[in-house]
Amino acid sequence: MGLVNDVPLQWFLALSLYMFVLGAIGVMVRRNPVVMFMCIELMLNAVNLTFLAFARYQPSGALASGDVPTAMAGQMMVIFVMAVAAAEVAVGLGIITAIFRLKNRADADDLGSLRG
Amino acid sequence: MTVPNEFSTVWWIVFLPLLGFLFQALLGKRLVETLGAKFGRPAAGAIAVAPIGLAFLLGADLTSKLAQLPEHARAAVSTLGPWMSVQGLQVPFELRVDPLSMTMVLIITGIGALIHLYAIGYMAQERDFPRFFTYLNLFVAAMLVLVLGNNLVLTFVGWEGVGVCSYLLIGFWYRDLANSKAANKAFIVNRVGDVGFALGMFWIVHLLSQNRETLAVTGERWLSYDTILAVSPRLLEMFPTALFWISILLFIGAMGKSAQFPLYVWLPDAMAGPTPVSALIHAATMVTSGVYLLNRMSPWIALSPAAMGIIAIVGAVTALVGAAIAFGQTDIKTVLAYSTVSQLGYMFIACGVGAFWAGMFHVITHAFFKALLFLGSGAVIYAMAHQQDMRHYGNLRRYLPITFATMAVGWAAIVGVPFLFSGFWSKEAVLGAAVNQTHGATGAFGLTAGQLAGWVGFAVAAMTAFYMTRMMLLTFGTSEERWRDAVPDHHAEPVHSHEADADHHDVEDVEGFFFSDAEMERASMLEVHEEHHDLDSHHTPREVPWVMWVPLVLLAVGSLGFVGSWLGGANHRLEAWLTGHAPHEAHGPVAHNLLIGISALAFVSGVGLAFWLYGKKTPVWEGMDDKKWNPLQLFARRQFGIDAILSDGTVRLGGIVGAVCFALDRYVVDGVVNGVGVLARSLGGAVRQPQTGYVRTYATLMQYGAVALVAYVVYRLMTGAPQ
Amino acid sequence: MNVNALIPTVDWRALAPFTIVVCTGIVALIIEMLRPRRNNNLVVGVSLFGLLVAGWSLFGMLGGPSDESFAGMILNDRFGQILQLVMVGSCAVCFLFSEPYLREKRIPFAEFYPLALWSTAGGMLMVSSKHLLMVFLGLELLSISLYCLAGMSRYESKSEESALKYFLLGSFASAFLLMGIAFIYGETASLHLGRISEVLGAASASPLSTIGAAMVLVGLGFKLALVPFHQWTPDVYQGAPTNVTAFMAAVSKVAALGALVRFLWAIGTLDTVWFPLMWWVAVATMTVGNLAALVQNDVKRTLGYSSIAHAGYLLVGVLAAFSAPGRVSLDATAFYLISYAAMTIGAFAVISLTASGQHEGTRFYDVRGLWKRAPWAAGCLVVFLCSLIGIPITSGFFGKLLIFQAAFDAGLPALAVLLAVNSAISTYYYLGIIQAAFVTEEGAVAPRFGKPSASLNLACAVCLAGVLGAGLFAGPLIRGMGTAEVGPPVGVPVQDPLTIHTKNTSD
Repeated sequence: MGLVNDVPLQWFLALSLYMFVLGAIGVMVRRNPVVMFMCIELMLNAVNLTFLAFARYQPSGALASGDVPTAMAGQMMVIFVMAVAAAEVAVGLGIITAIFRLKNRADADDLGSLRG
Repeated sequence: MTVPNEFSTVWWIVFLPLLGFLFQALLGKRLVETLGAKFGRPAAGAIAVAPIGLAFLLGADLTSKLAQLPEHARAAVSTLGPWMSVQGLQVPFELRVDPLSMTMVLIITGIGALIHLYAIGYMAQERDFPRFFTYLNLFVAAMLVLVLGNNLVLTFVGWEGVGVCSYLLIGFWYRDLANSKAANKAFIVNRVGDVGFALGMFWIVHLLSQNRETLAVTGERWLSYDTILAVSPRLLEMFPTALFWISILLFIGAMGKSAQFPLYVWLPDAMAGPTPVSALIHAATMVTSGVYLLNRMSPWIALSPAAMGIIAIVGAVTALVGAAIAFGQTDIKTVLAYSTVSQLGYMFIACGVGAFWAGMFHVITHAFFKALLFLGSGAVIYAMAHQQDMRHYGNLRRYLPITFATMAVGWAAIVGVPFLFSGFWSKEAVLGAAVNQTHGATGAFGLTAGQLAGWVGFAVAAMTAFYMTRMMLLTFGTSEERWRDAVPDHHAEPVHSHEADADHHDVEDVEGFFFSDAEMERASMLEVHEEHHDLDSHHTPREVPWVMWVPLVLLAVGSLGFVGSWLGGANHRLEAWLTGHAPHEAHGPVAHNLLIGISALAFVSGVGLAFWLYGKKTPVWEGMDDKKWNPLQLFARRQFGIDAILSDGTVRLGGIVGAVCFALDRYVVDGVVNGVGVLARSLGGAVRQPQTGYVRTYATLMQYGAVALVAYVVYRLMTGAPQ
Repeated sequence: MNVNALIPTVDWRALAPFTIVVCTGIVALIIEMLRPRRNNNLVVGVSLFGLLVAGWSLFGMLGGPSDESFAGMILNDRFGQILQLVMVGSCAVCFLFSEPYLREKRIPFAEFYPLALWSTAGGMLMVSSKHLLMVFLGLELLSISLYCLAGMSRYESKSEESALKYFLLGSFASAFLLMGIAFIYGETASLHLGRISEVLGAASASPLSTIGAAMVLVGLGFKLALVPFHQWTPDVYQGAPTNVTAFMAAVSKVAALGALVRFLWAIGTLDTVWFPLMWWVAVATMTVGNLAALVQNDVKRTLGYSSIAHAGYLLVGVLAAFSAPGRVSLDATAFYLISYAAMTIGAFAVISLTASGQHEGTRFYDVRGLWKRAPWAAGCLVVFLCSLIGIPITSGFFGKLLIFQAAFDAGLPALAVLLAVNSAISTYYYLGIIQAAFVTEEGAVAPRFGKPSASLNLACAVCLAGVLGAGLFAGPLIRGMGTAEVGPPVGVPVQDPLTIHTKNTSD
């Protein structure tokens, strides 16, 4: 706990922003859909980190006033984001598998028949 | 005004023909197909006649009920429910039961039923048999709405309804271009009148909605007759000019429908329709709706002497021009058409001199004898293989005795054989009222407009006697050589859609109104083919079947003198019935007996002249060779160029306007529109460029978008715009 | 700590429609597992019944007072209820024509029904919550189901392609949305929009929450297909099976718009930061959608672009509502959504007729002769397209008219005029579709249509009734929606951030 308290909020935010931008750039430059989705996962992790950091550093008034749902909102959100991300993985991999079955390879740049 | 329950059955008078229409439209064709042409057509025809006949019985019942009421209480309104409700203006569905409307109902349904019956025989060979009765039933329904509606809007609905039916029926044989053109002409010329009607109606709304005082009387039913007519004297005091102009506008409406000069030009062309249509719509009922409108609005129009004078003069001019043109016509139906125009002129003279009831009197008698003449001419045409040119007739009294006898009655009625036939009585009532009209400014010859119109009417009576006698002699008199060695010409009523030629080609199954060019061409080729088994030396005219001559006989009975004397004789029954008060004996400058003398003189001179000229044989100047015609009659035959000037003039003018618009559209509007189109498409091509189909491009662009969004927000925050 | 404070108010009634739809989905899934082969009738029947019950319960709730429950997570107000009703109805109509379509196209995927039901449930959650966690959950429930559905035609490469595109870009957009929510949370320490607007309204705008809001708008703009986040729309609309396209066009647009409206209300300073931005976004969305639609040769793709344009029109309505003096009334927008759902589903339903075997041709020349083969459906198509154009007596006309009027009244004449111009442009391609459907000459590729089934005709009839009914009874309908305003929920006293007059202070 002590260690965490010594690290300023800005550091967490800087790390999460770095992860977020890295993920975003990854989506743009990678061609394998699995890797692209991994980059998106990276962005979601950046989001989780942000939420937790803010939750940790938020003014303590809410918790003291007994408004637990509000006070714990950040942490709750993280759990839900993780759950949703897991669901997305399931669906996403299913789609990628289906494409692999059709084309025997999975390359995002192969999929350009719908355009214009 | 109370709503007595005993009159609510009036709605069925309208609904019955409407049901008939629905039956014919939805099931008629199927019925004929199921039963076969031989039984199906009479069955469909009988089902078409039945509602009209029932409506007649209902009308007769209501009329007798109405007659039992005291004179001042003979008006009732039956309201079905609200219809239009716009900012204080209420136009309900309401029908009016009063002597005028019931008189019209009896004419429409009575004569309508007879003509329906006749049409079963006349149209028996027609492939589109149910379609014909569909239109005919719809016409009767619309006409009944016109005369029964208790407000101008309902009358207008009927007005347009009969216009549409007239259009559809004139163009019934639509595959002939001439018929379609005639239908269009009728429809378009009628629009001119309809604009007048509509403007008059709008003006009434404008006047009544502006005025507090009249609102107290009219309530929200501004357009209902009982309210309009109740406030008209007060309106006269407030807006005399507007009253005059509204009268003129409504009169213009009446002119279009009732074929008054110069809007009569559509009526002769309307003879392109089947003959029963000419009899019902273009002689007995629809064309009299203008007279009905003037009668209905008579308390209003009578307040404006100037408008009355104009109506009388227009009526006189119409009567004169119609009769003069009839001198030169060779087509039997066209003669009758112009005589209708001329007789309608009489009715308007009556309205113009204030004797509205006399106008209605002539409507009644004219309905009988003119329907009779038309149906008779139809019988002749039927017997003569659809030949309509009188120059190919002759001596037909030998072959068509019943037709001849009944048509002779019709002839006697229209030329005004004194006392014995109905036409005499109504004509006498009209012209007597006209020449004895004393109020109003005097003009030419020191006569009032009405008197002038009346004297013109006597001249027209002599002319009528002449041209009708000419028609009868050409048709039934002299010898039959003229059709024995007849040369086929192109005046035949088109027969190409008859069953006879249905065997030759296979367009039978084609439905709807639109045909490809190929089909049109095939149809017109067949028409030429048809001419070969037209009139020839072996042709023997046969008397028509009973469904056709029974109506003729009944109408002939209705044209006899007892009808006229009962209605308009010494007891003045019709005048009392329509005006609601006992007639006052007119004491004009011209004595009653003198009038009868003048009438008789006109009749004798006209008939005598005609017998002298046509009694032995057809004069050369009316033969097949146009060059031998005397110029005056040829000029009459060509309608004195009136139609040409009006139609061609408008067409030319329209053509010039059209050409200008076309050029503007082609080079200016199209240029702009196409330019915009090309621009839009090229822009579209530009915006689709980023749509590469690659998901990574999309992600990149999304990201640029997001970055731009955030950059914008940061910029706004840094420039310190908020708070 | 007060124990009572830990137990939130629970109003199951408010959650009933949502619960019914979710449970129907579960029941449908179970039936699907146990069903006899090649017969989905029971699944369809149960699904429709569930939607009917949900719709009925929603209808019963209309007109009640607006309130919150589940610790502020569920909002029960008129706007949300109307939008939920639209979504439930849209889903039901899609089900009506889905069965013949799936059978005709031989897509063995009865999971369509449960997934679509859950997707609808997600949309319902999105529009009736002011809690960002709930909005996020609803959005993901809606989206993940749709990713599956878009790719359900597993042997069709374009279906899979559209699914992957939708999935990758959708998750990408979700990441932005979540990051934005995180920033807002960092500023306000709350996920509740009421609380957020309270905090934001009290303090001066800070960079963190403003940037966060911008990122949330990316996420919502993606779902609503606003330019520049629209690019997935034509591809996915074209590639996805037609019944899914219809479903997605209606339900996901309604849901996203509902969420956007609630979010815009909360972030406050619309007139200074957001207003010019949204103005340009609206203009760009309308224009790009219509211009790109002009040069398409595929009916579904054209309708995809047209749905972008319609999102622009909707945004105009929202902007007008928010910048209007006096109370915020979303009547025009809600009315437009109703008519949009009816006409767009109807149009796609008719287009679904072109499926035959595993082949489905939706290019303009593929729909030729539709008139001969399915006169009723083709006739309906004309009405739907006329409504999309905005031709009088159809509801599309009144919807556009209302938005146009609202924009004028709110002092946005330029936006109103641009809307009208765009409407005029759109006439071209809609008429192109009508023309294609009514050209009878058979081309080199003979179009093979399935015979329209009774349930498809019924779906067309329902949409027709919606389009014409809403058009003919536009007045009563709008008066009936009268309270469709986004006021602050009862129980959360909020300092009004905008010049919104709430129900308590208006009139």
